[in-house]
Amino acid sequence: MTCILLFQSVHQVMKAEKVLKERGMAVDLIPVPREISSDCGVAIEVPAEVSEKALCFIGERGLSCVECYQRGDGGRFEKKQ
Amino acid sequence: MKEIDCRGQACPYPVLMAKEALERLTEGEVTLIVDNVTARENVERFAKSQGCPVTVEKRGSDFHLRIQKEKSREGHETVSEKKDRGNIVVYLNSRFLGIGDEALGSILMRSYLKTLLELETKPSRLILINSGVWLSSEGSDVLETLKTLSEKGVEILSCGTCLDFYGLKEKLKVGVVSNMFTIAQALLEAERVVRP
Repeated sequence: MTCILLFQSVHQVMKAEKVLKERGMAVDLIPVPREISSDCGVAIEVPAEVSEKALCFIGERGLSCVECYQRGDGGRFEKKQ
Repeated sequence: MKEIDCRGQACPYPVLMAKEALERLTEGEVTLIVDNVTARENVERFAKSQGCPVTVEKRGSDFHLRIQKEKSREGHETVSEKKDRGNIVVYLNSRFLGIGDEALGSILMRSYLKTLLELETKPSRLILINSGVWLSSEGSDVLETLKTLSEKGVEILSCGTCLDFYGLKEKLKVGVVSNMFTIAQALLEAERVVRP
């Protein structure tokens, strides 16, 4: 299971990806799934079990994720925050 | 009923045999025998792309694929016309998508290839030229995406001269090394060339 993190802008996505990669996290950049809409077309996908940690790391650098979705087994998305 | 034994044959041979058999046939049925899952999937996909229904039967470790072909009526497109219409080539002449900031271009490229994976219409070929060959080489962050596209039947051609220039010849991880002859021909024969 994974979590999709949405940000306000592509700049924030790029910064957040860098921060998470520096921390050795397995992050992936993905196009925002059609089911979810956002102003920015790219999002970060992280394994669900480390998503809380990821949010902390991002927060420490003054970046904030606007929305967070959990991708379920059937490919459905559940809004977490 | 015609039977073609493709056991022990590596791809793309079974697909080529199926193509040839279907082209010869105006109406009726042909059975292809293959001994591996990849060949089964490739032949099945090919037949379906030609509008021919397939039934698969597993016998021991072999697969018997019965492909049916209906007589093409007047006004209906033939197999080869259909095939041509589906021949879309995506031409990537850079590792970045679009002209402008490279970091953004890199993100857009990742996003583009992943989206391609989600879409039902798939290109038949992906051609990587110049810095585009970084995408199919070790360390690329779209390797998994390209591997999945390749499994889905998209042929990925990386320019050999370009791999050599960037010192990536030993580092190609997906698809095949190609040359200008094949690339030029593929571009000419494509029904559509997409350059995102």
